[in-house]
Amino acid sequence: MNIELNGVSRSFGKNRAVDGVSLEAGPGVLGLLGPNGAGKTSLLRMLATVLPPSSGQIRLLERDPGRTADRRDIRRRLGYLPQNLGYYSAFTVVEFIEYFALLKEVPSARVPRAVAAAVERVDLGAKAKSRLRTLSGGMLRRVGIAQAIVNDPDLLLLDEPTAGLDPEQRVGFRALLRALGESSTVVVSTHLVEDVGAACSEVTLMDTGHVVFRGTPAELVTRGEGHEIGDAPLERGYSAVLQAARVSGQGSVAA
Amino acid sequence: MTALLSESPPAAAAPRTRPWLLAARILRMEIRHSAFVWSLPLLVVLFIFDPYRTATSYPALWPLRSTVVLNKFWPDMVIFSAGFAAWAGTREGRRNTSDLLGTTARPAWTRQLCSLAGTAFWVVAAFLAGSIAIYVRTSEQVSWGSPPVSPVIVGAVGLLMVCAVAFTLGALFPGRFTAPIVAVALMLVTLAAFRQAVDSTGGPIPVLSPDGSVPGNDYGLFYRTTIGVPIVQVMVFGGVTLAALGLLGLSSRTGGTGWRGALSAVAAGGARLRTVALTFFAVGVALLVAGLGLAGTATGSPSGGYEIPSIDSGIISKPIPYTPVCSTGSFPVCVHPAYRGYLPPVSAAMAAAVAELAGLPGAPARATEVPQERLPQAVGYGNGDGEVTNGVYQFTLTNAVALQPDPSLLKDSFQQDIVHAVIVGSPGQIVTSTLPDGTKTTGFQPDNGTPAQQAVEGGLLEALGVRPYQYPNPVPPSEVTAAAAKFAALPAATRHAWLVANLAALRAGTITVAQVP
Repeated sequence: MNIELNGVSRSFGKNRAVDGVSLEAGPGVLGLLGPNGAGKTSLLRMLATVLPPSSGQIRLLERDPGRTADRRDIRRRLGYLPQNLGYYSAFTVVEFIEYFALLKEVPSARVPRAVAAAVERVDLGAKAKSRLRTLSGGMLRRVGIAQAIVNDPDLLLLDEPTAGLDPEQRVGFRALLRALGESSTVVVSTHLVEDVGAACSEVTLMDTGHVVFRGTPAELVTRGEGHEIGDAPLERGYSAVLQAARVSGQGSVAA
Repeated sequence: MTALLSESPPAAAAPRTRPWLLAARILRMEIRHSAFVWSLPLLVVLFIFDPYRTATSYPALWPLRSTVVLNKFWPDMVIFSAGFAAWAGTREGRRNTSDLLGTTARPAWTRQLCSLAGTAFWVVAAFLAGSIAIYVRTSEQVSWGSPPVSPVIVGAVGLLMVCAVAFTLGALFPGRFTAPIVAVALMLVTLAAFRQAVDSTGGPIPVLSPDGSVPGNDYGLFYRTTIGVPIVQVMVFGGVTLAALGLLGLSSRTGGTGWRGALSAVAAGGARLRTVALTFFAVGVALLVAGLGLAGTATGSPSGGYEIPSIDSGIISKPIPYTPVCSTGSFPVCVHPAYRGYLPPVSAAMAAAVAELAGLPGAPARATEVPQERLPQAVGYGNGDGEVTNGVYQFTLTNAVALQPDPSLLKDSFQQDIVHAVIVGSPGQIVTSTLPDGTKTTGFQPDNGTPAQQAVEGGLLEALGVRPYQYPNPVPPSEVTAAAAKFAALPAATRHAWLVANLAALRAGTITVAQVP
């Protein structure tokens, strides 16, 4: 298992953003769904090793991120795209991705090839020499994805990766996700249920810090049968699970 | 979840990376994108109009010109270095990249050191380039000596300290206004240290201030300069630099694990970088404390600056061997080879005056330059150039070099002093008086001579075309001035014959103004 969480919680002051989450995931694309404030971003930040849990145990790539040597090894094999991508506007696309390749300790001889491959995979070859300050929001998002995959990560964490992408780019990106998911564990946090339906092999639905659903997209669709809120089958499943969880007083709900 | 309790499998073989190669590539990017580059045009203009112009206006002496590096150029660099280093330090906070960078394998400290080095590279390069420009121009003009290296080393280490402190403050307190606040604050600290150095208020600060201390011109020419102060400055600046870098690597606010984490990691024998950071901090603090301790022992130096007794013992009074350069002719004049350029105007000025005084009792037969401290203290107090000793006019060029831009002032100064030395003698005396509150004060009381001596001296100077002294009360100036004009109007042979016959009585004060022909 590339991801093993056991009763993981994270509090910010009195606010418990993630509350007793247990989760396991191997290779494949895992969709992380949930309303605003559900705890998706906090969970992703803990998986990204930038936020330690308040309690509970985390193992990533069969290593303990609480130990320095293990954490460094995890980070070599980790890709992360935060919700708000910070960037250095004077860097070119290639420089920015190369910067992260070097920081991720990609062997120096492999860096140019890895950077070129990442740029091509997000279809930014024509803008490779452009400075980041000249790029549109969608292009910047693709730069963010490129830096996340430049080290061929075994664990890829993407927070709202398709925000700002146009429909054509989104279709291409879903294909990329499916390809990456064949050998890696990809966790995609998103509000867009159609991304989940098209790219994810599994779905985890969170609400108020808890996991309220875990299953395949098809199982989520099944949970929405007969439910009236939502335009698409997945949306109806999403809405039905949330409603049921809130009525029952929350807690893990297996499919 | 039993897997959660199991031991980690052996770490996968670390990829074949050479850390220094990765760091070099990151550093190359940081150098290319350093914002400091944007300040270079302004710095060049500032350099030309302040340090460079000041240096080239000084006499071409290595000890004097090299002071500009620390007194003018260094303070100009401080505000730019501090501002841009702090700006680089705030980058991860301002640009909201902390999370993204926090997931990378390279420790935050190495990333930050590369970023700091990108700014420091340009700062030191600009400082070295400016210093070299001053030194190259000086080397084309000086006639003796070699460029002092210590101001450049002290300045470069001082700027590294400014960069390290500013960057660390920027990283600890990231914000849009951090950089200007840090730049202004460090500039104010520099100015306050300079003020203390100028006021000589005691304590280690004046010793450590890079600017504010200008040694006398004789040091570095006749005597060796002190090395204690530059050594102590490098110790303290280097110590602060290392401590700031260590703090950067240890603080949890900049990606480190904090003091407790670092200490436990070091105690466990792991975490190499944290050990290095802690060592940096400890060595830095040790250097700082040792440097401050040594600075506290500093005493005033005859060179005009400070000396550290435990380091400089015996150095300051050690003469530098040299072969003087001399003019030929009936009145030979010898100067230190560093003043070779001054020999023609000085010997011409003296020769004209000596022509009026030749053969008189007490008139010099030759002149030689000596260090100022070899002359009576009253000569220096009176802003004079020399005195006659055993038929030799011993003079200093220390005061005269300031008159270099106006050759007539140089000529007037030497002719006034040599005529005064023969006609009157001493330029004056040092007197100690007691103020009404009981404190004692030392001052200079000029000896302008008797009215008759003033008239003869004034007449001789007038004949030489030199502006006469301003004569003091109680003698009415008009009476002395008229006698001087009358004496100047005499034929040279008549003046000389009268002086041969009457100089002894004139010097004894037994001749009145009315008796001056």
